[in-house]
Amino acid sequence: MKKVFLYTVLLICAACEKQTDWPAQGLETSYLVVDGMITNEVKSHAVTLTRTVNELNAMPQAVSGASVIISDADSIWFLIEDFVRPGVYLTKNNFRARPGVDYTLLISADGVTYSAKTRMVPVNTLVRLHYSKIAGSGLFHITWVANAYNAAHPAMYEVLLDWSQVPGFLSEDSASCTARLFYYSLPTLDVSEVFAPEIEKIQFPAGTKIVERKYSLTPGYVEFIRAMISETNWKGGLFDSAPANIPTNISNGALGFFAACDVITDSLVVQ
Amino acid sequence: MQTLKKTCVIFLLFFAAFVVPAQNLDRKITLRIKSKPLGEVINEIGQKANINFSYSTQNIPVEKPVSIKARNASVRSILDELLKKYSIEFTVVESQVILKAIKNTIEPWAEKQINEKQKFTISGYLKDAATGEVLIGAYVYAKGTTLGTATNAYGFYSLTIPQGSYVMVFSFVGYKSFEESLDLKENLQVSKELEFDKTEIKAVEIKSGSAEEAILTKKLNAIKLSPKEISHLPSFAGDFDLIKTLQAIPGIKTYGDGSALFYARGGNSDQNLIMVDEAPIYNPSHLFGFFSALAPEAINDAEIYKGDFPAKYGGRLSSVVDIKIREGNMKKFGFAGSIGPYTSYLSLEAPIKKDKCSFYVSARKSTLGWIPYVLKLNKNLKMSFFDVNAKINFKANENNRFFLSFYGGQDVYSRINQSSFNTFGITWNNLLGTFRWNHIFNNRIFSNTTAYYSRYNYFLYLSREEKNYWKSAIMDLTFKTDFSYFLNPENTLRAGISISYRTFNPGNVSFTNPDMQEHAPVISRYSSLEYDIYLSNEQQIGEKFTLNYGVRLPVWQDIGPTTFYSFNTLNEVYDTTFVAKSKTYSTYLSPEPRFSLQYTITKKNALKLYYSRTSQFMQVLTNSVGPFTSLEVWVPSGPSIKPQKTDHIGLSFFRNLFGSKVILSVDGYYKWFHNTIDYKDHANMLFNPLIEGELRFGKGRAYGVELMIRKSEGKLTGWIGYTYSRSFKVIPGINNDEEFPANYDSPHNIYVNISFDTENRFFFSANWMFLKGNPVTTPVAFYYYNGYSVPLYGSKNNSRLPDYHRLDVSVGFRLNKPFRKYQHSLSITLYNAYARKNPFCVNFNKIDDNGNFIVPADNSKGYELVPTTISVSGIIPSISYKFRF
Repeated sequence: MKKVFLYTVLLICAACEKQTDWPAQGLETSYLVVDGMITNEVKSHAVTLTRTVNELNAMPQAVSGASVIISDADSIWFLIEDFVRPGVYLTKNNFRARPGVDYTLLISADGVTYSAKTRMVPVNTLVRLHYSKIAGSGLFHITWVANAYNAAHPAMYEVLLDWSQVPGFLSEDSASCTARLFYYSLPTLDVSEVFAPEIEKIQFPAGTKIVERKYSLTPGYVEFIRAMISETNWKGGLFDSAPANIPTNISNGALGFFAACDVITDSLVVQ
Repeated sequence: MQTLKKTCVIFLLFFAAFVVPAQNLDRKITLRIKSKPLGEVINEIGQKANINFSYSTQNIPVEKPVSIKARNASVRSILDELLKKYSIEFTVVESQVILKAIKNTIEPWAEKQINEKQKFTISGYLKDAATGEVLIGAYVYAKGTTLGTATNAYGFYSLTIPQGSYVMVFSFVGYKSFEESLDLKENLQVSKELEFDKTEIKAVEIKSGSAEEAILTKKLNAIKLSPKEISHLPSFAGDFDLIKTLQAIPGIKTYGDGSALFYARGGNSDQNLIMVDEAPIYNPSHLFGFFSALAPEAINDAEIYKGDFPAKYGGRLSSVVDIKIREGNMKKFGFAGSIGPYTSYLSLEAPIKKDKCSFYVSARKSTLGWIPYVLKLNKNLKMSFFDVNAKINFKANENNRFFLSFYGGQDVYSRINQSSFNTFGITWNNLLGTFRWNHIFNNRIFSNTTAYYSRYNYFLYLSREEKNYWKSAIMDLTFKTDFSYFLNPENTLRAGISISYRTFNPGNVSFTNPDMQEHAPVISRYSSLEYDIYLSNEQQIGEKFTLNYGVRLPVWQDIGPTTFYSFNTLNEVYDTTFVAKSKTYSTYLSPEPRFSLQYTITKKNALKLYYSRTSQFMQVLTNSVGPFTSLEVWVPSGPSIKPQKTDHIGLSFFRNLFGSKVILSVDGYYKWFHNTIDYKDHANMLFNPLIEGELRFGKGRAYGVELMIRKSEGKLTGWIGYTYSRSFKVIPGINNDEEFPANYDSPHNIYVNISFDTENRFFFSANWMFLKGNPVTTPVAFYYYNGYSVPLYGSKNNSRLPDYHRLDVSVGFRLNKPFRKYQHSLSITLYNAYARKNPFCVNFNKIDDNGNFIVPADNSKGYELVPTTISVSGIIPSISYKFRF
């Protein structure tokens, strides 16, 4: 009886969620989606071109055969589609983007030309993330990466976990022993962020190699990321904001974002 | 001399020397009279039958021409025929045949005759005989006439009627009606204490009194709720709740389970003015809306207006909920309380000086805090709330009363969020204080002067340990006075004036770290002055029409010191203005005409046409679409936010059916919203100095028909309410400038209540409600970016959630015989008895991890997302014990 009573109390505190069948209404025509970023790292930078899908979890159609160019005031970099990954375009040559410089992306796909402009802002210092051991298990989890609010230095944090080389996991599929997590420190605070739904907690063993990368964010990219997280990670709480399409810096009706980020990296091994 | 003749009782004695036996009435006579005054005919009958008649010329229409033909008929039968049609009865007393009006029924001819006579005023207070508390909305009327009124919010009434003899009726639902014969020939003060009707326990009644009484007193526009009525309704978590009870009223829609947000006739939730002893309460909820901020046991009376607003109310567009707190027992000490799984409360009341001064104090506290510990849940989750009501009521003399009331309430919610914050938490509190002075200048002029202070603070703690928090606040300091002048039976004038000073903090962040504080955005604080003046008249035109007309004139001024931004048509800042202290930088004047015309078809039927304009000069800015109150930012109208306005027309019909046992009301309306507010996509509502730039302005419209059938008498009572309503907006810059349904647009609402009271130990009540699903915006497609599956939307509010329906059942047991001094009862409530899952949102961002829905964190994996819906709860049983002495 006591348990029944207490359970009812819990019902007030915890919302009930259940799977439903809710097909998207669908679009007659699909839109181009641009996922592109250049950084201050000397490497071949990538721009991925796909199209929207009408069903949740549907495999996006890669956009092949497009002409993709990145340029600044002094240089032009041509991108070539990766043979292995259709829709992924890589710069022919390695280069590094520089803070304070304006970059332009030009895409010509299916007879339509799209463009985007961006500028890199410098990143500031990286404070190493925190992790802790989960009580009752030999595994760890990340407890802190950055404050969610930072008016002066907004940033995106990419945390790469790899425990494929840890004894006990050597025989496992390497993909199951890696994880790529994102954290954000934004100059805004939202109700849906404060009351965001629970996010998956990734657990990893001692010996895991962690690479933490901090990306600088321009105001435009901040706006894009904030809207994107509002529509994904922050959606599904008790205080959702009104749903809306996320902004883009791509012209001509395309979706996505072309970003230029200053990056600093730190790495450690979980002890 | 003539006056004396008119006012005195005339005895007509014929053949005074004789003693006339009653059997003379059986004497047979013959009469043939055509168009002679009644008085003369009576004389002639007296002469022929040798009878003495006695009567008052005030009550008998002696001048009325009558015709009668009788051949060898008894005097009794002649008198029966002659007098019956004038509602005159006759009795034999000793040697006299006394003629008098039957039960004071005054025929139209008589009313007209007496209306031309001198008028006098009856005034006074109606109170509860047991506690001495005033009865609000009680009816006072002259039996058999259309002359009546209702007590005001302070239990005062004033009725000016022509000189004459009346049977005055004093009635209030649940109380024994009191009748008193009055010979009105001078102004009278008649205060009555009505006794609770122990033989009539009305289980549930949403509107006090019958429609007949409401029609008579022209109170068709107000819906009344008393704590007794509320307490019988099945309720969320067993905690009786005034705000959630509003969902029972056609035209008022709530969001669903556990929500305190409500929407009146297509208006937004911030367009409802909720007043506690005249002071507005800016957040009427506890625990995000799961519980009402007001303990229902502390409520003496609540009046709800959703259209046809009296001119005395202003400042909100869509509804007024006027709540009066209990005054305290003037007669004896008493206490009451309840113990429940979620809240408990205790109240005390007593006379400080009997029949002169009393106090009432109540306190309620949540009992939720222990749950995480007992259930071994996350001990870092803490939530609790409390509220306190206190009131002192001092009657200086018959003409002066003073009230001092206080309300305070606070919520605390906190949890440790290790990934982002330290101890994150929310605290909000309401603080209200009111001083009121009732003064009776004379028996026709009543005044109420009020000074109140209301403050609402909202804290969002980013780290309780580091004392980093975001705070928004609104403060309201108002002085006002209202007058009622009961000029004559045809005209009641009401006027008032008020001045308000308000301050707004739309949300500023405070960091203990100076570096963080330096980079924190500074949001402008605002101050404003509001002046209001109103005048209205309730005018009776003939017997059938009542015209109520008036105007309210609010003047709104924004004053410094502040900084405000000017925006261009692209919503970009083009200018920044620094305003010095006390300097006015924005002024709005918005006349609000109010008009209604009631056509009383019969005493059981009435038709009412009304129009009102309302203005709103401050609003809550939030783009949350959830059903719960969240971080709230109140901002005033100013250079970038024009006042919102509505024009509202309506037509109402009321009818008593089956001998007044069943009441039918039908209400149709159409509303136009001007300068209605919406938000740009992903508006940044917090920490944003340029928040006005996130707003978009447009128009709205709402319309609907509300139907209610109610049975208020007998052991079995209840009502059925049905509403068809729509609400739309057109906002340039949103939804491609096309019209879209508002978030709370719900075309079909049904509410059914059945209550059964055995009048002994057992009572039962059940509600069933149905709401057409709310509009939601759902994706038309998806795309992928950096591992995220991002929804793509089409038109705004393109889908609807599943329909909402719910059954609540409540059973009560009185543990003592009725009306013992110590009363206690046990209530068992099943909220959502058939465990319907009523979703309030749909999401596409979860993975099913062993039966648990969770947002994926690893962007390197191609997870299969599933659409999910969230509902607040399944079935919620509760049990509570209540006691009262």
